[in-house]
Amino acid sequence: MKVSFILEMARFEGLSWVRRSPETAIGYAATPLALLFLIYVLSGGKLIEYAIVGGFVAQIGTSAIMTAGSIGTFRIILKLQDLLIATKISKVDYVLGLALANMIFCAPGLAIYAAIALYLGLFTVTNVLITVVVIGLVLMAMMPISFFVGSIFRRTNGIWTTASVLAVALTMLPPSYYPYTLLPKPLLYALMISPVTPGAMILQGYYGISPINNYAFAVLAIEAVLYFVLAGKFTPWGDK
Amino acid sequence: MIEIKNLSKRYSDGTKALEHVSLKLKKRVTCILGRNGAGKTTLTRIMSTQLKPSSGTVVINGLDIRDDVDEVRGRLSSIPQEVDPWDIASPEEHIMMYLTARGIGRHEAKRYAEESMKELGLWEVRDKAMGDLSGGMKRKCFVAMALASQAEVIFLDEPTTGLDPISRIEVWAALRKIKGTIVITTHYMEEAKELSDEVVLIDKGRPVMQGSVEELLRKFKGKVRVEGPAGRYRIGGMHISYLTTAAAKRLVDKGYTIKQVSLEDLFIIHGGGLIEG
Ligand SMILES: Nc1ncnc2c1ncn2[C@@H]1O[C@H](COP(=O)(O)OP(=O)(O)OP(=O)(O)O)[C@@H](O)[C@H]1O
Ligand SMILES: [Mg+2]
Repeated sequence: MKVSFILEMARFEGLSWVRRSPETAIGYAATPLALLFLIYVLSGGKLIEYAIVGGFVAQIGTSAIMTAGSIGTFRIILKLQDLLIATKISKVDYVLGLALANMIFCAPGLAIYAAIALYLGLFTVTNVLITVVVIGLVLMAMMPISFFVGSIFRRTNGIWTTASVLAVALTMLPPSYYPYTLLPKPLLYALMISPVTPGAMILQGYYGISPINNYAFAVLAIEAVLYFVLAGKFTPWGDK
Repeated sequence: MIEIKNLSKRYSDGTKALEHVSLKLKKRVTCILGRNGAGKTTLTRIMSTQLKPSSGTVVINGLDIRDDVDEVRGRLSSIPQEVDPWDIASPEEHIMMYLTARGIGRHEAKRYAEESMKELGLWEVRDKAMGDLSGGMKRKCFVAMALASQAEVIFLDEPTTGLDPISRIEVWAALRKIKGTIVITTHYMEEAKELSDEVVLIDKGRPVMQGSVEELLRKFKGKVRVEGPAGRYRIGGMHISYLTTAAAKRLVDKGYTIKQVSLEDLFIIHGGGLIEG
């Protein structure tokens, strides 16, 4: 693992964005904020905690998936991936660099959420720690999916549309904005395929708005590792 | 040394881009010339481990690109022809990202980046977004990456396309300082003459000529290029012949122009696409 490359990649893809185009860096916060507003109005303020909790995981999830677009742009349009293929960088280094970039990129949006959570008095020390860990794991589990999508199409339009569909399927359908207990068990299990589902379950449990489910942690951790291994094995890197 | 052994490349659509290419590149700077579509980029990409050959292989300083791919990658730097910058990142961020990818520590990378940016006149714009730089400056940033790479072998696919004459001279001067092996493709004959210890001319996926510019021009000794309404070779509406100075002089009044023979003439005769008559 090349730590200095990962840091530089994060600066290259993430920090540069926040620094030179800060207004776009809260882009992925826009949808969750709109939903927050809707849920607040529709539920008369009752379900607001769900919207906050869901916002953390949905935001990082969406942004991770949409990174497929950057991956595709780097590979197909800019040919920057070609530059990197001819170095000793591994796919994993590349994805980790982009994951860290995403974290930086999402920081402003997540900060807005944290401010609202703080204002509503939702945070405890445990909550904050759990939230950080869950955000990290969801990011780690989503990035390989994004890398795979960004790498398999010959043209970028296929990547953008697939990433948009996946962003909805993997972050909006899972119980990020509503109690996971509302879902029939089989459906919940099916949705577990998206890391956002166990992520949201954990947060809802620890924020005391749904029962704590200890399996969710295991599922999320396994996904973070498994998806990485699978993407490492099946994602093309360089010439096929 | 780079040894290209019976290399062929057929793309998935059936295009045969290289056919049984065998070459030894022993000199410090080799320029690869050839018409559009001749196979220069294909060859460069294969040598840089970015593209897999259909058959054959390349051995770079004793390492086979098929068997020792990781080792080879540790030793080379390759700047693709069509690479474009990430608009919102700066030249410095590009170079740092690349150097750390090559395994250089951040501290050293910073120093190398600074040196190469100063050398190529990019220091003033090091922190600007690439999207705000001119086309030539963007291109120079990629050359700066290769310069700073400290690689044993450097591949540059048309590095000076779109550069102004001063920038081109800056790049040449910088390349001359590099100790490693350089393989460069170009469409500028002057560049090949200025930089190369040896040129390789490729036509339709096959090398047709190899040698130093001087060596190759020797066969034209005592001859000049004559352009006019008739002649041995035709390019579009223009006819070209190579004649002794005495024979050429006789044609001057008849509307022919006499020119010195240069690398371009080797390109015209051996580079492909030429019509006789
Ligand atoms: N990805 C590809 N798929 C199919 N054919 C390709 C591909 N890339 C290149 N070719 C073909 O292979 C041949 C050699 O192309 P290449 O890019 O190596 O030429 P080149 O000498 O670099 O040309 P130029 O001077 O225009 O850069 C051309 O016929 C080209 O159309
Ligand atoms: Mg080319």
